[in-house]
Parts: sequence; C-alpha cells; structure tokens
Amino acid sequence: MHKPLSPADSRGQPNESVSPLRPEVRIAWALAGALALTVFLIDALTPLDIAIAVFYVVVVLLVASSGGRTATVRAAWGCVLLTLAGFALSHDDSVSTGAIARCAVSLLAIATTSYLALRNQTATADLREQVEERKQAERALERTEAFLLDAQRLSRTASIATRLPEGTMWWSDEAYRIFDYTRDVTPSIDAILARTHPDDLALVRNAYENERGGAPVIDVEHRLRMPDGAIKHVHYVAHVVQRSGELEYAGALMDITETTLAQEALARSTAELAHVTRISMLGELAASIAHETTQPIAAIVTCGDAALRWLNRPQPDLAEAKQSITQMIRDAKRASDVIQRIRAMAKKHEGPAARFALNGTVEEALELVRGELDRHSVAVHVQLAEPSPVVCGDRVQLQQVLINVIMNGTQAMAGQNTPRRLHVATRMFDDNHAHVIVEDSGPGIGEESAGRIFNAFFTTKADGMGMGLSICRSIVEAHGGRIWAEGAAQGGASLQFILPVDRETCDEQPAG
Amino acid sequence: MTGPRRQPMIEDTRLTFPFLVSVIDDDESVRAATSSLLRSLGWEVHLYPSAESFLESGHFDEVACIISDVQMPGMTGLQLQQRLRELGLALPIIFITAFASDAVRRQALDGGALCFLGKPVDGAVVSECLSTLQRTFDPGAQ
Repeated sequence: MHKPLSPADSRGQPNESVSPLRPEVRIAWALAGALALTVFLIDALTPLDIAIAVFYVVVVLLVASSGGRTATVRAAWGCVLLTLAGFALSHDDSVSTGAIARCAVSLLAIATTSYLALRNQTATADLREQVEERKQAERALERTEAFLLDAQRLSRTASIATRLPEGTMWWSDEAYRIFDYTRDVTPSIDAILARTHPDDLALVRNAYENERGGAPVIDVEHRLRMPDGAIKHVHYVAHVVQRSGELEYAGALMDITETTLAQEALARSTAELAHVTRISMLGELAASIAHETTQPIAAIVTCGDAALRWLNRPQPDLAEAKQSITQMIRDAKRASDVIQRIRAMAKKHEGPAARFALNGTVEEALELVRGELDRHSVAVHVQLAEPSPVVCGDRVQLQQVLINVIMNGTQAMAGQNTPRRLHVATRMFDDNHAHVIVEDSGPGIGEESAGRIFNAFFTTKADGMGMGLSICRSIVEAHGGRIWAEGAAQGGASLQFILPVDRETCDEQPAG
Repeated sequence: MTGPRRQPMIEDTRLTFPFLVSVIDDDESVRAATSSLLRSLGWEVHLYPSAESFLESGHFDEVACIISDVQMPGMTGLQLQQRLRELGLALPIIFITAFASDAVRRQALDGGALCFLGKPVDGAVVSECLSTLQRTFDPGAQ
C-alpha cells in the first residue's frame, strides 16, 4: 500500500508543525523552564551537598512528553550545560571528588533519561504511524466492501460461504435480500430449503449432498418461492476452498429471474412467429395454387364448350373439334403439373425426420396456444405418461396437429356457460404406438358428423375453411398413424391419434 | 344460333357489320380456348397477349367487341377500358375474369362494360352477350 497520508515524515519524526504554541505545550515548557531555573539556583547558590542536578531529568521528561525530538535534544543539552555551570559556580575553589561524582551522576542521569525519552518518542511516532496506516487500510477496506456490496446488489449476485460438515453458512447482504429474510435469520441450508420451490427441493438437496461429499464444483439452477408466492429463478455456483483441513465452499448465488423470463418470452415469441409465418405462407400458397389452376381449368371448360358447338353444327367441323379437345388435354396436364410442382415445393420445406419426445411437443403446443386458451377461459388438465413416448417424424408438423386439435376443442366450447375444460393426455396405446388424447367439455360430435369431420371442406363453423382436421389426418397418416374422434364420457368430444413409437430406425425414414 | 354473316356485304345499303372480336388475355390456353369458342359461334377472332399490344395494333375499326381479362401484368382490363374512353373509342367490352369481386364488377359496368363474367365462362352466356351487340347493329338478325 502506498505511504499513508499521515503527518509523519520519512524519518518517522512527529510533525514539527504541531504548533508549539498549543496551551498544554506552553504550560509544560513553562514548567520545565521554571524547574530548570529552580534547580540551577539551588545547585549553584546553595551549599547543599546533594545531586540536585538529577532533577534536571524531570525537565527533560517534561519537554520530551510534549515537544518534539529537537526540543528534547535541546533541553537535554541545556540541562547538561546548566549542570556544568552550576558545578563550576559552586565549586570554583575546591573541587572535591564528591562534588565531581555528584556532577557526573547528574550528567549520567540527564544523558540516560534523554536517551530513553528520545527512544520513547520514536517508538510513539512509529506506533502513531502504524495506527494511521491501519486507519487508512480500514477506510480502504470499507470502500472496497461498499463497492462489492453495491456490485452484488446491482448484479443481483450474492455470496454464500458454507462450512462443512457443520453446515454453518455466511450470507452477504444480497443473499438475505434474494431469500427475503431479515438479518436476524441464521443462514443455513434449512433456511434455503424453506424458500425453495417445491418442485426443485430434490435438486437443491442433491446439490447440498454433493457439497457434503466434497465435490469440487457445484453448479445448479433452480427456483425459489417467496412467502407471497412470487417465483424467482436462481443460479448457484460454488467451489471448494480448503482451509486447514476444514471443508469450505465459496459460492455465488445469482438471481436470474429477469433473464429467464425474458428468454422464455423470447422462445414463445419465436415459436409464435414461426407459427404465424407458416400460416401466412399457407395463405400465400393457397392463393398461388388458386391462381395457377384457375386459368387452365377455365380454358378446359371453354374448349369443351367450343368442341360441342363445333360438333353441333349441321356440318360438324371435326378439325376444329379435334383441336379443341387436344387443347383440353394439354391444359389438364398443365394444371396437373402445377399441382405437382407445388406439392414438390411443399415437400422441400418439410423438416427431416427426427426422434423426439412426444410429451415435450404436447407441452410446447399448449404453451403456444396458452394465450388463446386463457382468452377463452379454458382450463387445461394435462396428464403425460412418464417416461415420455418417443416417436420419429417431423416435430413441427405434429405440433401443428396438436395445436389444431386443441383449438378445435376450444372452439367447440366457445360460448357455452358450463365450465370449459380440456383434458390432454399422452400414454402408450399398445407396445408399438404412442397415444394422444384431447378431450373437451363441449357439446360433442353428432353421429352424422363423426365420420366426416376429417374430410376436407367439412366444417360446422360459419367462417370455417374445413381444412384443419383434414390436414391433421394427412400428417398423422403420413407418419404411419391414425386419427379418429369419439364421444367423451362426460358428453364432450374426444379427438385421439396414435403414432408408431420410434424403434431406433428414425434416420432411415423420410418424414411425411 | 347463327353468327353474323361471314362476308361483309359491301353492296348492301346497310352499314357493314364488324364481325371481329379482339380477345385480350395474358394466358395462352385461355386465349386459344376463347378463340375456338368464338369461332364456333361464327365470329372472327384476333388474339392479343396484353392490353398494350391491342392498343398498339390500331385495328379498331373492324372490331365489334373486345373480350378481355381484368387481372393482367401491365395494363389491367379496367385501365384499358378507361384508356379507350379517353381515346374516344366506344368499343364494347366483355370482361371475363377469374377474380370477380363486387368492387371490380361495379367499376367495369359503370365504365360501360357490356358484360362482366367469371371464369370458367359459360359459352352460352358469352354468346348471349354477343347477340345483344348483334341486335344493335342488325335488328333483323338472330
């Protein structure tokens, strides 16, 4: 650390700029001066045979206690001079050994005391400097800690230290904030578990067990549930810090709720966008199909009409009739080519066949239409078989089938006053087939409609195109499955389909 | 049902009756088919792939009627109708289109179209429209 901004100079001397005019110093020095004078007078003028000069040490001590090094040295020398002067004045004619000895003792006392006083001053100065340095260090530490706490708060990252096997923990301020505990709560794994989302308890306990087992790194993402029901997503990372035989973990807990929610929203939007794009592409496709086939068909009708008229004359014009009929065939082929081309184009945009878990696709489909379901106040009950059946095919297409069937059920229940419930389930139909069931609590399907709902252009809706379920049937059957409709137990409709389960042959089969 | 006399009777005191129908459509099959139908009805036919090519041809005097599509790349049928009005050519137009919307129908008929028909067209209806024309010129003909 840089030399502190203390008042000490490089030789460790106390700051001479401490004004000697301070009252205490003045008093001390005045006292010292008075004492020195007194001792001198007694020493020089009285015939007392005592080493009164020894009292000069008090003068030195008085100066040393309040003055600086220089003042002390000066005082010391002053006292030495006074001693010698006194000695000279009082023993000018006869110099007895006793007197010399007394003088020597006094000088020795002054010298020793001065030396010790000076050393004391240095030590005190050093100590003062150390105290100053320590104060500086503490201030710097406080600043650093404040930055750290600020950084933790801004980045929603908390520090958690754990000592095992006792399980004692230290939490930073941010940890208390994330867990929503007051400072008086003792940090512990139980306190954390109390705030953990019920579905993630196993995950958190498992991580703690890993810590107790001494795993080098812990990395777990889980949810917390606050007392008010709010959900937070957190990411906990920790590593081992060995301290003299004890097992300690230093960890960081990051509140990633915002990021997670944003990512989920983004994924939802992306999927919706893809969905909408497909739908609008379908519209475009339909328009171009209509345009490309209307012309040849119109030409065919007109040619046929013309051919009949040519033949209907009193003198049938066979050449013209033949020409018309030939053109009819040519136009019919042209229309057929157009349809082939469009089919090929549609096939090109299909995804490759892949293995995927059916449950995931069901959940994604529900997620995509969640807005619609909420808008129609439909309650969804999901029952997915575990482990998830795995099928081979175009995941996107099957997702479309699910969306279509779910929306069909939703629309069937539109406008009814009885509860609108949708039951979506996956299970195994038999050893080789996965089974998906979508049941609604609507009015059900009439006998006469049951067999026709999967036909193209069949619709009971005023603005319906009648394509949805027929497309579903095409997709399901292209995957080697079967789709049908039944009446549900409680009177609604139950749309069900089965798909062959993947038998490790997925990559060999084309989709659709 | 007979069409107009094939040979214009130049000596006839009556005005010569134009017997030419100009067919304008961007689709080749439709042009050929319409041509066959009209010829079977006794009309002579000139074919044009676009409104622009028809206007450029300048053969307006002998034309009894125009049969035109509406949706065409370049000048549309309705734009052609307006252009002919601007040129002061009172040529009767029959529209045969695949996209017969109400707005377009109204605009065509308001612009003076003879008939507005949807594809695929019924030959009898076309014939009926053309007969109307005939009667204007030749009240005595069927």
